Amino acid sequence: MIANERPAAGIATVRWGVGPHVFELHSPLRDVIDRAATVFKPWRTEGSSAATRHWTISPDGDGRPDWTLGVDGTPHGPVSATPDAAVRRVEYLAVQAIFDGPPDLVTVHAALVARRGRGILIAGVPETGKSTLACALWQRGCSLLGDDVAIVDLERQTAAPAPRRVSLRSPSRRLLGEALWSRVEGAPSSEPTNEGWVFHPSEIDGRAPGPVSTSAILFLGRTNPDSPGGVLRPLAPAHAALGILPYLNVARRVDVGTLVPRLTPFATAVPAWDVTRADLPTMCAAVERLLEP
Amino acid sequence: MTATRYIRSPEASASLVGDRVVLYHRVSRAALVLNPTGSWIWDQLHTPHTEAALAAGLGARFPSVPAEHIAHDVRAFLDELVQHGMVGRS
Repeated sequence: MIANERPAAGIATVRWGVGPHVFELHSPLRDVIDRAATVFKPWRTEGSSAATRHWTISPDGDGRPDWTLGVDGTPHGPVSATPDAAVRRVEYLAVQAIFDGPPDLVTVHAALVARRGRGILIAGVPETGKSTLACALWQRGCSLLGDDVAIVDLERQTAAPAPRRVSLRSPSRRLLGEALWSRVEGAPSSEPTNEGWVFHPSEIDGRAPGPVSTSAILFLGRTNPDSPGGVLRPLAPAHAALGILPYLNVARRVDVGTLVPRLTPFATAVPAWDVTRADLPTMCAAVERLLEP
Repeated sequence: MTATRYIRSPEASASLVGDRVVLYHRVSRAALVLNPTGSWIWDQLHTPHTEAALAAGLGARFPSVPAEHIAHDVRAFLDELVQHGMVGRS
């Protein structure tokens, strides 16, 4: 199998992973390896078992300006010839591999924040403000573990961030303040994107992005702000189970009738809430109450 | 004339999540969350029941609710289940 081949001489490797997924990036380009070692540092693994997926980044043999990206020994196409762009592409593909992988690893499209080991998943369709809320909670002292994809253990009711950096859009700059924003820009794994910056919050606050117990699930953008009720509106477990389905990777491949019983222990044990849009401090204060011991 | 009886459709899959039943129709892929009272009715429908029998059973559970309200709600609920293909008539 190609995945079991050892890299040729002169090719270095960065290895990382989560759960059953073991990823490797091989490249003869020192800058690419160094960048990958920084970006994937929180998820670096050791060992000699075969990678479940590996990528290669190498100079194009025909002298073209782009580098060539290979996946599991097969050419995948060109990639911009900068370490930042090339590694960012692999970072995206690795999370995609988890998303498309075996259904035993469940991912939820949600931000993940935590305090004292108690985590909150914040789910919502794009533009409902989950990154903004997560960012505001980080600014108020929570750990910001992820802004996009979390890996959920339905049986243990734990959640962990997917192995990718957090992405902040430029409008978050005002929210975070100049002092914190400048630390984001200056962190080792940080780099600018078209929309803002990607970075590791752990490089700013020193908190490792490990798994946390899931204390609550929040849904944004589902309730009318004008309807009566508070900022947080409790959801019955059955509604939470159906509510979270669209955000699960496995929902695309597993019949709902099969998936709901699998979700039942998680939805029954973890309280869920609809969050009504309010001013950010009010929303944060309501969520922080859920994180109190 | 025999009264219509209702029974669960073989295409409906049910899961109890908390105090509510989640119904999923394997063909249409429609999903419904039943409230606790609806969940009780669904539980009865593992065997054929008439509308009147279900209403009588609910009336015994909620003696303070007027019988006509219960009958109306049971009829509306069964119509919705039939509309979604979750139960059949015989």
